[in-house]
Amino acid sequence: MAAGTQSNAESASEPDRPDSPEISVCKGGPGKSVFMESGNSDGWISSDVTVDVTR
Amino acid sequence: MSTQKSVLKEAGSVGDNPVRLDTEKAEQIIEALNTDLADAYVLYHQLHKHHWNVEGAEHLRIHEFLQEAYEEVEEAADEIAERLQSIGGVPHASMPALSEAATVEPEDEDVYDIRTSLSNDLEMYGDIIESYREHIELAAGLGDHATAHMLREQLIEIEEHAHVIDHYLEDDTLVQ
Repeated sequence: MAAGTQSNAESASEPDRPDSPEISVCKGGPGKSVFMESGNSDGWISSDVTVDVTR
Repeated sequence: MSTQKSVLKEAGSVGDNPVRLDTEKAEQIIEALNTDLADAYVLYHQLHKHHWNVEGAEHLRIHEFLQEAYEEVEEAADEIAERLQSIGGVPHASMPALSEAATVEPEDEDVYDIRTSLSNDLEMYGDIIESYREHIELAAGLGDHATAHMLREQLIEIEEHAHVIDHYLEDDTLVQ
């Protein structure tokens, strides 16, 4: 599934740091993804391009 | 066709709003709401088509239900348009703009049996429900709680209608 279609708290936080920000991603307009920091309405960024990350 | 010489507000532009929502945040929400608006009108026309064409033993109740459903969808679309206008946006208002912005795929012009028609409606309801959930998260995450609240209330109605259509599609029916 594309990154823009699901919430993902893991990708931008380190699991062993409980105070690190939790990031979710939502679809906005067509083809647009908005990444938001939980609990901080000023912590966000939108992108027209997202790619799947492989490890 | 333009009927006035000076454009008051350009389509696609985002202006200030009186509710002190940051313009850049408002822009994200307006774009999402214009998508919801466009999807709503695609659903509205498809429900209307099925309302006109339904036949068979159960036609009267389904005909009435579909009218109730498309009226609810139109009411929701009106609320969405007014909300996005109130936070500085320009709601899509022409058929080409709505068609281009929509993310749901309408049925073609041919007429199908009511089971196929309602299945297509349920599919579109499902896509719209998923989109609403995303946009509720988006609005709430950006601090626009009024938009999130409006979408939540509309989502309850949308899911109720999807539930009714799902029941119509059960095996226990007169229509074969």
